[in-house]
Amino acid sequence: MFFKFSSFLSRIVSHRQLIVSMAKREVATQYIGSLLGIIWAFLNPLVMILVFWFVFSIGFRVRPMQEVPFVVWLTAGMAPWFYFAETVTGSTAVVVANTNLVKKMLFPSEILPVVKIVSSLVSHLFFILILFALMIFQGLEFSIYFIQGLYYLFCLLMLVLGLSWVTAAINVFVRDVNPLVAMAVQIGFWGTPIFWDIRMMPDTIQLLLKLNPVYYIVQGYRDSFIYATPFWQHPYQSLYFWGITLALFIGGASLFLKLKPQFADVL
Amino acid sequence: MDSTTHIGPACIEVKSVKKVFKLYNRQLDRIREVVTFWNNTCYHRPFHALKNVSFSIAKGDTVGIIGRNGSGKSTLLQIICSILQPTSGEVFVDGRISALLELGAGFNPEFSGRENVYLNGSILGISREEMEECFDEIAAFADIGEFIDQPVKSYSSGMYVRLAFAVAINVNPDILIVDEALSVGDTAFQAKCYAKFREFQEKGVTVLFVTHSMDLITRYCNNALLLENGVLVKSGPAKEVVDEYNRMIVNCAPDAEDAVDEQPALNKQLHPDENRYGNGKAEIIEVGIDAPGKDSNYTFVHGETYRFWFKTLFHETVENPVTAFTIKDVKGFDISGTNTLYKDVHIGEVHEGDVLLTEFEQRMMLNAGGYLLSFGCAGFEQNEYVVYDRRYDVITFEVVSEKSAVGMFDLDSTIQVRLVER
Repeated sequence: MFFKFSSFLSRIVSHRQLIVSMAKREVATQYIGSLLGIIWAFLNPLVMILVFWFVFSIGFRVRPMQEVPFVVWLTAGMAPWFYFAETVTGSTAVVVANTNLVKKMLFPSEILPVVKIVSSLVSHLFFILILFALMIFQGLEFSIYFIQGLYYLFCLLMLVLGLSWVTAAINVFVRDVNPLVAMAVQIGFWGTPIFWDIRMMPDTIQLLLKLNPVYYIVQGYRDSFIYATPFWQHPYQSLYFWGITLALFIGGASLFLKLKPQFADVL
Repeated sequence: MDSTTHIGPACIEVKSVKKVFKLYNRQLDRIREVVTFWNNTCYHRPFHALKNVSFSIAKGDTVGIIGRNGSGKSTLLQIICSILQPTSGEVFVDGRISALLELGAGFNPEFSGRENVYLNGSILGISREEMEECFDEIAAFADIGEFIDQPVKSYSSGMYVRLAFAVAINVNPDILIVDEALSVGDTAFQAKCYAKFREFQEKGVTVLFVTHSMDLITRYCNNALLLENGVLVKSGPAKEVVDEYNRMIVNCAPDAEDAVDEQPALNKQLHPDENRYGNGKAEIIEVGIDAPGKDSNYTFVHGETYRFWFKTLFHETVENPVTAFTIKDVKGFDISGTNTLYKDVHIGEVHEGDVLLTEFEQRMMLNAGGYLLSFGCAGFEQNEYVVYDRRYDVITFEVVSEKSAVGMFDLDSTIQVRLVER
């Protein structure tokens, strides 16, 4: 079992060239044929941020978060969430969408979620660039803790990868997983403290909300880009997050490995 | 069952492979079967696609897989490529496989041919640098000109197969697997591909392909496998397997068994979709093809002499009936035919209850391919042409040929070539 598992992981590494070229194509496919092309990758998050900022800052008159402009605080939380949402919903359907490759070619289907995760990094990068632009515009200073953002990005990638293997594999057999995941992501957007502060909630509810592993990352992005707080200040949360993520990663990879031989039968 | 003789070491070894597909009536049944562990209720119907198939293929062999639709050919190829897992049994493959199972399976329609070539290469595990080296060869083989830089979605299916095949054979595989895809290409391209097969044979590359053209099997394969309902019925030298296939088809056709017992019906098939009409004054009761002075030879060979014959039972007395045959190609185009009227054969008066045997003897000058044979019996009543019984497409037959030719018909040309003064 261990040998199978490690060869599963090494297959992903050995196919990195294929992953990169497929990811490039995926990005190009999204914008090919449209007049504005790659500008859409920039325009989409920008408009989304503007809408939320308008509704909450101007409509509901939300005050700045601990001396930080609301729009910056909001963007730092939205960036990881939208990456999470895009990759999880996208890679759930990815095996079914590539039936041709799975059924008619000797294709390493375990890399399909990885391709989605890599290609979505492009729009994530644009989100981060918008965040930086807003910070400069608001006169906030850059700090050494920005580098910590990479750690949280890594956390995010691992979480998403494990989860994607699970949903992508099950979706082949039960297509209901796809709309179910889409619904869960909708609920998750409101249930994760992205545009509202967790301290608004009573203590017991706060504890429950912190069980959501994505909260660790949302908080981490804000710690890195706004509050300059190191991750070891949340030791229990870090341990909890990695416990969940590693379990998902190992469980997801094993599940995918176990179900993969039957993909071609079912598709 | 396995009469294949091997010179080299086995390069594909299939050991008692079984494949069972679980068919579910509803998607819910699939989940119910997984979830209900407390009893062994079976919610699926098993479909046995392959039943205990064993064979081995030596390195450098060109092997054809034949069998009717749904006999398990494609499933077998998918298992050899390890796209599908066998339910039980084992498959050993030695060498890199390049497979062409479906037209442009790895192609993304939005991207250019050039980009797709590289993508296909990286799916096969070939680095971009290596692909760059053989790209020119691929482009030259595909021979689709400027279209190489156009999106694949603008390709005709012929161009698709050209490019896909060019990639599959130019990546230096040890084993090439092709599933029927080639039939889309035009004749010139097909010829080019089969020439490549010959080259592969010399280089020791193993080729495995599925086709319905018996002619291709006899011409290019040294061995063949015959599948029927998931069972490997015969394997061995190509010609023997093709004979067995034709015999099998004859045996399975309705009411053809007697004819087979009496005299060897040559490579023929009583066609289930025959089109029959007439006023019933006469009835064609028996039909057949054979070769004078030969028996138990089931191969219909180009250039040899054959006899088409049929027996007509008359229910009424008629004056001077006309009997005829026509050969059509599979597209329904009349190729050749004649009748007793054209040949000035006067049959005279035939009485009620008489059985008339008509035999047409001729050299088989048709080129390799599948053809349909029709018989008819008609006559003149008050200067009106009346059909008594006409059985269209009653027999399908296949011609195989040792030599290549263009078109349907062979004029048996003799050729002289010499240098002359201007």
